[in-house]
Amino acid sequence: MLNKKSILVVDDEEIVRYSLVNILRSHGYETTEVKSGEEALRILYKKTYDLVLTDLVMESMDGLELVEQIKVISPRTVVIVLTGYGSIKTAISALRLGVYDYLLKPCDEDELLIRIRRALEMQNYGDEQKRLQELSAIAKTAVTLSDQINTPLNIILGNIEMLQLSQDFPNGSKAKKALATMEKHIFKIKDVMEKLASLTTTGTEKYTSLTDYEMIDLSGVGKDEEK
Amino acid sequence: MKRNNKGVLIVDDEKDLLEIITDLLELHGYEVYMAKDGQEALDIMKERNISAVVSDIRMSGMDGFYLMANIKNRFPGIPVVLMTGFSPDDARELAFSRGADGFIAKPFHIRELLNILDKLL
Repeated sequence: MLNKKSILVVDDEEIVRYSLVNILRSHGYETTEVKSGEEALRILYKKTYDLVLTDLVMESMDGLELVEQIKVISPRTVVIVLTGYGSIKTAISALRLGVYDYLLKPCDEDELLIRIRRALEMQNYGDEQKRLQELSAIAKTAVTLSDQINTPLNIILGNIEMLQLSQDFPNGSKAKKALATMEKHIFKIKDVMEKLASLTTTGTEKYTSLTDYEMIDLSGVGKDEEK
Repeated sequence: MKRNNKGVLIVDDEKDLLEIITDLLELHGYEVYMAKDGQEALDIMKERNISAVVSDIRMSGMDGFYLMANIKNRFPGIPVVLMTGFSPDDARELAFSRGADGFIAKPFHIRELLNILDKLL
């Protein structure tokens, strides 16, 4: 397994925890076990787990309450609940709270592994979709920004060229050299913008029309800080 | 290079850019007209003797592609050069595939634009 997935097992019965952890570890999962919802929350505040496998019926904090808290503390974490035949209704309530799946106790090893793999695959797909959306947003911003930066650069360059043509700045003068330096750095900025735009469009959808890009109005940026 | 009587129309919604490109082209012998948008550009083309149009692609209202399509339809034979500050490499490809006679990426030296215009006119 390339990237060890982390699973937090929550059950107040030691024998159940022991059995689940053994199965999961032997299949390459990084596993932590706790015996209560409170302990689970303490750990989840400190560390992010890919998946939580929790019993529904436990003393003090029950599984439903734990699920609600997990959704707040660690929304990316996938939750699978373990339930007995007597508490299927509670398991369905858990699904409404955003639990991905439920398993009936005692659970079959193959079934457990299949459900966990499926839940993690779904999580990977969600992560990838989110990453693509973020990349796409960055790409659009970079491409739009390049226009908003390159146009003012062109105005500065044009004015430099105008000054270079002026008789006031003879060849070899410091002023002429300063104009040449400014000109050189305009093209450095242009190169950076090109690299940024090409970097962020790699791997995301290729644009078909420049008009697909929304103009981002940055005129208000920084105004609050100036006050 | 003799550029007298060659009217060039520059279209861009950025006034400072219009003014500096105009000044520089005029210094190099072109007669230059400015338009801040596509509609103004078409109005000027009806009134004046325009030999070439240099237009920004991204403009509010009518964009450069739409303006170019209008020019090709109403003033066939007048070359259109598209310019843009958008960075992706295929902006050039896109401009030519839509019928542009020339393409220039901002920021550009005025001699680059002069080279394109001299070849077209």
